[in-house]
Amino acid sequence: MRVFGKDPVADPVADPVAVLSRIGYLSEENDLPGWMNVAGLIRYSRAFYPAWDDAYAEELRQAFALDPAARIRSLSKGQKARAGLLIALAYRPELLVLDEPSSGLDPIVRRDILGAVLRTIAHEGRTVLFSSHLLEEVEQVADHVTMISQGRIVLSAPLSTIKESHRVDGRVPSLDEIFVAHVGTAAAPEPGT
Amino acid sequence: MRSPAIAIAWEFGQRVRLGMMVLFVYMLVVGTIMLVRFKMGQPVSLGDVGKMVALVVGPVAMTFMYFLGVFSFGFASDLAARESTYPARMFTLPVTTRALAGWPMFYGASAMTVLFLAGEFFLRWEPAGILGRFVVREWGFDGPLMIWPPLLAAVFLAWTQALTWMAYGWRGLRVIVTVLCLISLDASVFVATQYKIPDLVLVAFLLPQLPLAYLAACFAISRARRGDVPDWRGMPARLSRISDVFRRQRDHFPSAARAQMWFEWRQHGRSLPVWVAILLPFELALLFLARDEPEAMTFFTVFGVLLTPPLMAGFVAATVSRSNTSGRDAYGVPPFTATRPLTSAALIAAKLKVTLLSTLATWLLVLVALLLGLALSGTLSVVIQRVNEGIEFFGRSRTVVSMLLGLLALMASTWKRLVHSLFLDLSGREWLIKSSVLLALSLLVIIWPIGRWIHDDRNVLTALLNALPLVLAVLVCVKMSAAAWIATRLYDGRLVSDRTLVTGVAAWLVAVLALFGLFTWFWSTPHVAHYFLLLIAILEIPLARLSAAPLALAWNRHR
Repeated sequence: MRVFGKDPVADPVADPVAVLSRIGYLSEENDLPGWMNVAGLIRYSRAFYPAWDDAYAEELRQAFALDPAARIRSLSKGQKARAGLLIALAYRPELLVLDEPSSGLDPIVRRDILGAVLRTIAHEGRTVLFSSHLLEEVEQVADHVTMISQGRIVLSAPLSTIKESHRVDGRVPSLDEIFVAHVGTAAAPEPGT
Repeated sequence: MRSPAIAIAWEFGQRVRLGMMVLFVYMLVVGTIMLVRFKMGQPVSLGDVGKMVALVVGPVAMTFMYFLGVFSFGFASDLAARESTYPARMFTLPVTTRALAGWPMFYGASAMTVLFLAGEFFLRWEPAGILGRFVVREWGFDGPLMIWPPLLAAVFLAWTQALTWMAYGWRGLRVIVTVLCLISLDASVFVATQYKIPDLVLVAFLLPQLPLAYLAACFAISRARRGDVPDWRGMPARLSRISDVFRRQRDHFPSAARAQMWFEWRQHGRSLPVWVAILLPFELALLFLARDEPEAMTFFTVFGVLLTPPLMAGFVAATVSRSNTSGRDAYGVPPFTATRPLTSAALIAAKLKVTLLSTLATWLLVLVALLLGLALSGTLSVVIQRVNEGIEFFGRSRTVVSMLLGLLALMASTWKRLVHSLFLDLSGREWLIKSSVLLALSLLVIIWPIGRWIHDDRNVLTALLNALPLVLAVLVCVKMSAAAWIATRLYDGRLVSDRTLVTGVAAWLVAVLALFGLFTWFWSTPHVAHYFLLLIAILEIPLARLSAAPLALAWNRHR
């Protein structure tokens, strides 16, 4: 597998600027340092990315209503997700990787994250790699969908193709229904059946 | 399973069965070999201290450490965390807090008692007849079984459980409190045995500690069950907020390397100076008590203060390798750090620079505090007098250089202890890290009997001294081979540039030659061969373990 024409395992180690500085990553884990405040997080992250945009970072901070003096550990889960999204977007990465970004978040924060994804794709023509169990959100933003079950790809195609190919009697099923149809149910049979 | 007691016993049984089987098979094999050799007319006697240590004390000590980890749930938890190490999954069980505390303590104490009694039986056993017999040993096992060693082991475990299950306000405080308490317990018993205190007195001292430890454990678990975790991190933060008022808006970092240094400093750079600063007042207070005491007390205190930074560095070292103390995966590199556009070598370089700054800050604090303490307590004159006597005897330059070298050696030792385990801790492999800890603890336990055996037996001491150059040469070969292999892997993986490799090797060579030069100047005597000093210089200057750190981090970063 190659990212920007380079080996994403070997080359980020040997040449991090060529690969990692062009990728924005929002982790499913909440691993921002709790002792940092928001201003310190921005100041620290800025040093690593030559393409960091101060004005855009400030715009995002205000849009996400993040107090610069607030410690990361004192933020709610949603606010931490916004802080992580801020430092993933502020340098306008060519590839944005979001690992379960909406997991456990309220609808307002999920809206912020999806909005950021749409802006990145629509305004700047960049690529977003987005993993999620919330398939209704995937339907809203994805161009291409890959479904994985037990470590194996069960379906990978453009969203429009998937929808069309699963149309039954004029009705287009949801991605949830398509996923269940491909993967099957994992539930144990009822006792006595 | 119909009762919580049986369920908890079953869980511990699953955890320890492999260790118990290994120990049982080991003792069976050793006993069989001893019987067979007895039949062949070549008896192996455990009356010899060396064989006793190798065949019995060593394995029992390792099993003792293993039980400490299993029965305190230490292997499955982050010992440096503030939260209790008692498994949170058990708090929601319909079991009383007394049972949650009591059953692990009971089973642990039982296992320790059986272990030590088995060891005592084995030490008294000798091949004879068909199955052997129990004998009196020359070195004190001259009566009924001693009760206090198994009781001490049970008490040791009980306090380990109580103290590790407690929640603490600061990260890492658990390790320090537990180690200090256990050392105090051990030291008390050791002093008692040296003064030949009757066994009954020892038993009377140890036995009441079991219920005390149980009460402490109940308290710890009841707090943990309520989710009560003290948080003292706000104290320095409140102080820093005062300075925030006066702080001007910070400029941007000039480089990614500088930003990463700032991050590492804030993560762990202040740990060592802070912990030493906490201990210093208690140590320096002894100087005020020593005013009217013999000089030995003053120098004992001074040496204690000077040894504090290297000693504390051993405890703080674990925090140096943690990139994010709040990460779920205690051993892996959190994504926040792994995705930094920095090479693994640059990440390591930031850690090394910060540990250097941390060491310098700590020693500045120690030296200033020590001078103040000596001056205010009126004991500075005692120290100056001794220094003057040294100057008269050895000469001014040699005395001054010796003192400076001694200070440099302590500072270097402090820094080395902060970074020497980076290559293990950064590997992210739990089995590797825990195995190394277990091995180190086991070595600590057997070092005393081995040292005593070497000291008492002239033949062994002579043989060891004669073989020392060869031993050092072998160690140097191993070190250089490891360093060459690591350099090859670093080069092939493009983890460091050619320039960094060459500069690193050159710096190491310069350090070795400088140290060798100092050694030859200091020990300019025909009784010490120069090649011997060179071997020591090569072994003293770190190379392989430091070089392996970027390799370990890269291995962890991409798994």
